Amino acid sequence: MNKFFQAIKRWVDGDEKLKIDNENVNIKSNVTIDESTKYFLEESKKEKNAFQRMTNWFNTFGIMYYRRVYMAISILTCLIMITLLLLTVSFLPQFGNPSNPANNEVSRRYITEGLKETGAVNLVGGLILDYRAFDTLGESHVLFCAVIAVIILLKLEKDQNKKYYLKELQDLSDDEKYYDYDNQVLKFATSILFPIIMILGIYIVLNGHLSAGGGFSGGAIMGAGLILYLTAFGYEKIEKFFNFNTFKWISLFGLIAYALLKTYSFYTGANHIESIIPKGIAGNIISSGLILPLNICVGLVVCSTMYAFYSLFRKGDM
Amino acid sequence: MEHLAFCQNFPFFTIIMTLSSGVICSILKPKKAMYFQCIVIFATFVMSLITLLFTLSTKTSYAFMMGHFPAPWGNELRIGPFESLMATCFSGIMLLSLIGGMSHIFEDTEEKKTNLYFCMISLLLSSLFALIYTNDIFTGYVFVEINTITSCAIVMLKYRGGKTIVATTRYMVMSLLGSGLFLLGITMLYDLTGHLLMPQLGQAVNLLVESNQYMFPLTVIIGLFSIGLSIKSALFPFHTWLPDAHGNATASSSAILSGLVLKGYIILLIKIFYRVIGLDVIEVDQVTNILFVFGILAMIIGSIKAISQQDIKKMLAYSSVAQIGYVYLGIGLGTNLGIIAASLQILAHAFTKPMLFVCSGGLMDVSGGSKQAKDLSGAGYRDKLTGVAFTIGGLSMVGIPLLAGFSTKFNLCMAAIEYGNIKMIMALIAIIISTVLNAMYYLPAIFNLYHVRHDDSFKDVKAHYHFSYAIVLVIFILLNFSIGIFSDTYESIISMGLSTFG
Amino acid sequence: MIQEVLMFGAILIPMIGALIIGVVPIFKDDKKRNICIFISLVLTLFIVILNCLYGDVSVTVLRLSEKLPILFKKDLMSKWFTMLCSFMWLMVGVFSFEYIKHEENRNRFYIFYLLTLGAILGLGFAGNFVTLYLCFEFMTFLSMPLVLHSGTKEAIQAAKKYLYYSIFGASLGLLNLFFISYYSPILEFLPGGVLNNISLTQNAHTTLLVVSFLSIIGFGAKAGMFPLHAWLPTAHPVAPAPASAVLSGVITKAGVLCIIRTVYYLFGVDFIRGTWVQYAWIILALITVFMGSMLAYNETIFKKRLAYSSVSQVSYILFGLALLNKIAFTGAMLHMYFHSLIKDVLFLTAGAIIYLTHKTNVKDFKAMGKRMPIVMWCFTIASLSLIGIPPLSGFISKWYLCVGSLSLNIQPYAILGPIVLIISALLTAGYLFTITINAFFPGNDFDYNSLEKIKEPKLMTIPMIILTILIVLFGLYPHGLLNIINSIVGTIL
Repeated sequence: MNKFFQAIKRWVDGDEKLKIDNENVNIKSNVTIDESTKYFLEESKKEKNAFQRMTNWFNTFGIMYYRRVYMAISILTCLIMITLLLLTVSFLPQFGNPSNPANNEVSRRYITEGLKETGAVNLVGGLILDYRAFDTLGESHVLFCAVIAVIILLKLEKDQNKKYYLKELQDLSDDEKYYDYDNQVLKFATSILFPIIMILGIYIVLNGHLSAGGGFSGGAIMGAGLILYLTAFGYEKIEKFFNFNTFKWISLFGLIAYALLKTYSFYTGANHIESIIPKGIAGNIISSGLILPLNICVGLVVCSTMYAFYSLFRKGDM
Repeated sequence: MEHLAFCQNFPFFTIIMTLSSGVICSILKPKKAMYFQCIVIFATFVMSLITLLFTLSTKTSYAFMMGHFPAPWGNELRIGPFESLMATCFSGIMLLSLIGGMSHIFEDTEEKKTNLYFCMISLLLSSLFALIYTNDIFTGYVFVEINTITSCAIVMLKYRGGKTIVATTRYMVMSLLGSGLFLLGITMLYDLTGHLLMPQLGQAVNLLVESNQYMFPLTVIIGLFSIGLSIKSALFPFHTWLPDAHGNATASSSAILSGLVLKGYIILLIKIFYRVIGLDVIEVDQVTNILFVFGILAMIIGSIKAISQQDIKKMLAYSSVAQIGYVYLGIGLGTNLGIIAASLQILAHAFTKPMLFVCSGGLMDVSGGSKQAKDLSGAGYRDKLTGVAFTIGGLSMVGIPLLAGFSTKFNLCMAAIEYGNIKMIMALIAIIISTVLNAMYYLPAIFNLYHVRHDDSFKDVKAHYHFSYAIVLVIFILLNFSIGIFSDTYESIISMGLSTFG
Repeated sequence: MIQEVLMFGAILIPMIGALIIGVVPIFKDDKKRNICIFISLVLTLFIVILNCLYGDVSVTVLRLSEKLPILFKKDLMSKWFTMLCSFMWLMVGVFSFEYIKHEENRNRFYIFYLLTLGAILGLGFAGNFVTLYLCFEFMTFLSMPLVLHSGTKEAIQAAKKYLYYSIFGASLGLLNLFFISYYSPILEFLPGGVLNNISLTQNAHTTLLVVSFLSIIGFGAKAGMFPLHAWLPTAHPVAPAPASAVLSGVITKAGVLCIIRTVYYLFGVDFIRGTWVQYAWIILALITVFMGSMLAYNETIFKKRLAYSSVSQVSYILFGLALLNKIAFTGAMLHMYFHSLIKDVLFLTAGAIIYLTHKTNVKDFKAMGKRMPIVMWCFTIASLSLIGIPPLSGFISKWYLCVGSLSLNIQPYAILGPIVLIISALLTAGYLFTITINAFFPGNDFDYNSLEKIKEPKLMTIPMIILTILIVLFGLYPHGLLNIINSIVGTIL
C-alpha cells in the first residue's frame, strides 16, 4: 500500500521515474529520535514536577500525536460538512419543477417585460447591466481589487535608469533566455489567429445586448488573444502597444466611465427622473440605452485584467 | 412616488465616490493620493453626517432605488438612523486612523506602491458603506468579496518582514472559507424562496415557517450564514487568524481592521437576522444560544491569551477577540435590548481600539521601532500624549465609569437581566470574570509605560510627531468620553433605527 | 448654594492641590511643596468641618444615562465619614513630611496622596450607587501608586494584587446596580432602603439576596474580609509607612462605608435581617477576626503583623454591622473611629522606627523604649486601647459590640460573638504586648551601655501625640460621638 501511495506522490510531483527498485520502504511511521532528544528526555524524566514532565513530553512526542489527531478531526469535519450539505440539498425543491419558488413574479417579469424595459434582446445582458447593475459595478471592482493586490505583491519596481533594483531580477527580465521565441509554427499561427481573436472578442462585446455574450466573455477572449501574442512574440513587441501604462489608463477609463454612466442612471432612477438615454429599436446595434457602453467598459477592464494577471505572474512586470 | 430630497442621495454618492476614488488613486503619485484620499473620506463623512441628521428628523428609514426598477426586480438600498449612524462613525474613524498612522504607512510600504494602499483603503470603505446600506443579499456578497480582498491587501502591504505574508495567507484562506459558506447559504435560500431582496426574502421565509415547509434546509441556511459571517468577524473558535493579521500589520491597518472591518460583517449578520429571518425564528432555532456560548468563550479565552503576550500589538489583537465576544453575547441574547447593547459595544469598540492601535504606533516610534514590552517600558514619559491616550483607552476597556467600556458593560448586563434565567447568570459571571482578566493585561501594560527605566537606552529619545497625530488622539479621547457620558443619545438613535429596521 | 459649593469644595481642593504640585515648578522644592500640601490638607479639613455644621443637601451633577445620574448627597453618615478621612489624612500628611526624606519620587507620592483624598471624600459624599462605584474605582486606581511607590518588583506585584482584588470586589458590588435598578425605580441611598414598598416574587427575592451577599463579599475585599483579604498583608510591608497608615486606617473604612450604604441605605435592614445572608456574614466576619489575630501572632515582620491586625480589627466593625441592631451598630461606628486612630498611631510608630533605625523585624525591637521613649509610649497606649482595656476608647467600642451581639436572640450566633471577640483580644494582647515588654524591659542580658537615645523628629512625634491624646480622650468622654451615632441610628434602624 505504501509503495502505491509513494508512486502516486511521485506522479503528482512530476517525477519521471514512478517506480523505484530497491527502495528502502521500511520507513517506520514513528519518528526516529536523535541523540540529543534522547538525552533531553532522560534528563527531563528526573524532573519531580509533573507539570514540567507533561510539557516536555508534549513538546517532543505530543506534537506528533497532535498532528494526527488534528488531521483526523479535520477529515471528520469535512465529511460531516459534506454529508450535511448533501442532505440539505436533498430537501431543496426539485430542479426544473415549474412550481419552484424560484419561478415567481420576479423571473416572470424579467422574461415577459425584459425586452421592453431594457431594450436588450439578450435578457441576461439586460439583467446584469440594467436591472441589477449595482452588482456588476461591484464585480468589476472585485476584478480590479484582485489585480491591484497582485500588483502589490508581485510587481517589481524600476529605479531611475529603468533598471530593476536587483541584478538577478534584471537578468530574469531578460526574458529571451527562458522562453523560446523562435517557434515559427507558433508565430505563423498567431499572426493569423491574433487579429481574428481580437475581432471575435470585440464582436462579442459589442453584440452583448443582442445575442449571447457581453463584456465579461468578450473581454476574456480579448485577454486570451493578448496572452497568445505575448507567448508568440515576446515582451518587446507587445510593449509597443500594451504596457503597464496602457493597463493603468484602460482600467481607469473603463471603471470611471462605468461609474459615471451608472451614477447618472441610478440618480435618475432613484429620484424618479426620466432618463434621457433612448432605448432605441430592439435589435439594432445602437439600442438598449446604456448597456452597450457599459459592455464596452466591462470588456476593456476584463481584457486588461486577464493579461495583467498572466504578465505579472510570468515576469513581475508588464 | 415621492420626490427624494437631495441629501437622500448621499449614501449612494458615498459608495460611488469611494469606489471611483480608489480607481483614481491607483494612478496618482503617493503624496497626491494621500491628500486626495483624505479629502474624499472627509467628504463621505460629511455626507453621512447630513444623512444621519436627515433620518433623525424623519425618524424613519427610506428605500433608495438603484436603477429605474423598484424592489424585487431592481436593486435597492435602505437607509435609516441606525445605518447612517454606523456609516458616519465608520467613515470618521477611518479618517482618524489613516491620519494617525500616516507616518507609518509611508515607512512601511514600498515607495512606489503607497498610492495602492490608499486605493485599497478607499475600496474597503466603499464595501463597508455598501454592507451597511444594502437591502439585497447578493449585493452584500459582492461587497463582502471586495472587503475580503482589500482587507487582506492592507495587511500584506507592510513589506518588511515575512510575517505579514504568512498572516495574510492564513487570513485570506479563512476569510474565503467564510465567504464560501455565506454564498452557499445565499444560493440555497434563493432556491427556497426565489428572491434576493431582503424584505421579500423576509416575507417568503415567514410563509415557509408558518406552513412548516423546508424547516431543515432553513436551519442549515441560518447556520451557514452565522458560521460564515462569524469566521469573518473572528468569533471564538474561528479567531485564529486574527492575532497574526492584526498584530503584524501597520498601525492604521490594524486600527481599521480591528475597529471597522469586523463590525461590517456583524452589521450584515444583524441585518439578516432582522430582515430576512426574523428574530422569533432565530430564537426558536437555537442559533442564538450557540452564538451566546461562543461569545462567552471568546470573552474569557481571548483575555487569557492576551495576558501572556509580550508584543503589544498582539495583545491588542487578542483583546479584540474578547471584545467581539461581548458583541456576540449581546446578539446571542436575541432580544431587542440585547442587539441594542451589542450595537453600542460595536460603536464603543470602534472608538477605542483604533485609538489604542494608533497609540501603539506612536509608542513604537519612541522605542526604536520595537513592539516588545521590555522596550516600551517608560514610553509614557518619552511621549506624554500617547501615554495618556493609551491609559484612557486601557481604562475604557477595563470598564471605568465615565468611559466607553462601562456604558456598554452596563447595557449588556441590563439586557441580560431582562432576559432572565440561566443565560443571565452566565452572562453576568462572564462579564465579571472578563473585567478582571481585562484589568490583568491592560493595567500591567499601562504600568509598564510609566515604569522608570534604570538603564540608559532611549534616554534622549523624544517624540517627534506631526501635529495632525496629536489632533487625532485628542479627538479619539473626546469620542471615548462622549460614549461614556452621553451613551443615552447613541442608544436612542440605535433603538429608533432598529425599530424601523425590520 | 453655599452648601453645594462647600461640598464640592471639599472634594476639589485636594485635587487642585495635587494639580498645583504636579504642574507648577516652584513646588519641586521640598519646603515649599510641604507648605502647599499642609495648606491644602488644613483647608480641606476646615471645609469639611464647615460642611458638618450645615444641613443636608443633594446635588445631581450629570446624567450618564436616564437611569444613572451622578449624585452627591450630604447626610449624617457622610459627615461622619468625611470628618474621619480629612482629619487622619492631615495627621499622616504631617508625619510624612519627615518620612518622605527617606524616599525618592516625592512629588509623585504627594500628588496621588492628595488625589486619593479627593476620591475618598467623593465616596463619602456619594448619594447613589453609581457615584459610589465611580469614586470607589477612582480611589482604587489613585491609591495604587502609593503602594508601588518604591518601584521594586515586590512593590509592583503587591500593587497588581491590590488592584485585581479591588476590581474583582468592585465588579461583584456592581451587580447591585444592575439588579436594584431593574426592580426599583429609585436608585438613591435612602435611610431604610429602597426596596420597602416593592413587592417581589420569590425568584426575585432570592436573586436579590444572592446579589446582596455577593456585594458584601465584594466590598469586603476592600475592607479586608475573608475570603478576599489576601491583598492586605502583601501590600502593607512594601508600601511606605504613611501609605500603609492611610490604607489601613482610612481606605479600609471606605470599604466599610460601601457596605453600610449597600446594606442599610439600599437594601434595607428588614430585607436582610434573619436571612441566610446575615448569618453567613456574621460567620465570615468572625472567621476573619479569629484568623487575622492568629496570623498576626505568628508573624514577625512588624508591618505585616500590623496588617493582619487590621484584617482582624476591621472585621470587628463588619461583625457589628452584621448584627443589624442599634447597639452593635453603635459599637461598629465607634470602632470605625477608634480603630482608625489606633491603627494610624501603630503604623506611624512603625514608620518612625523604620525611618530612624531601619529595623523591620519585631525581634530587633529590644530596648526600643529606652531609645525612643515618645514613640514607644504612644505605641503602648494605642495597643492597650486596641486590646480593650478601660478607660481607653477601644474598651467602649468592644463593650458595645459584645452587648449588641448578646442582644441578638438567635443562638448560637449570639454567644459566638463575645467568645471570638475575647479570644481575639487575648491574641491581640499576645502580639502587641510582647513588643512593648521587649521594648521597655529588654531583660538582664542586654547591654545597657550600648544604648544611645535617638532624636525623634518633631514632625513625626506631634501627630502621634495628638492621636494618642484623642484615643484617651474619647475613652473618657465618648458622649459627643455617641450622640451623633444615635441620630444616625435613629434613621436607619
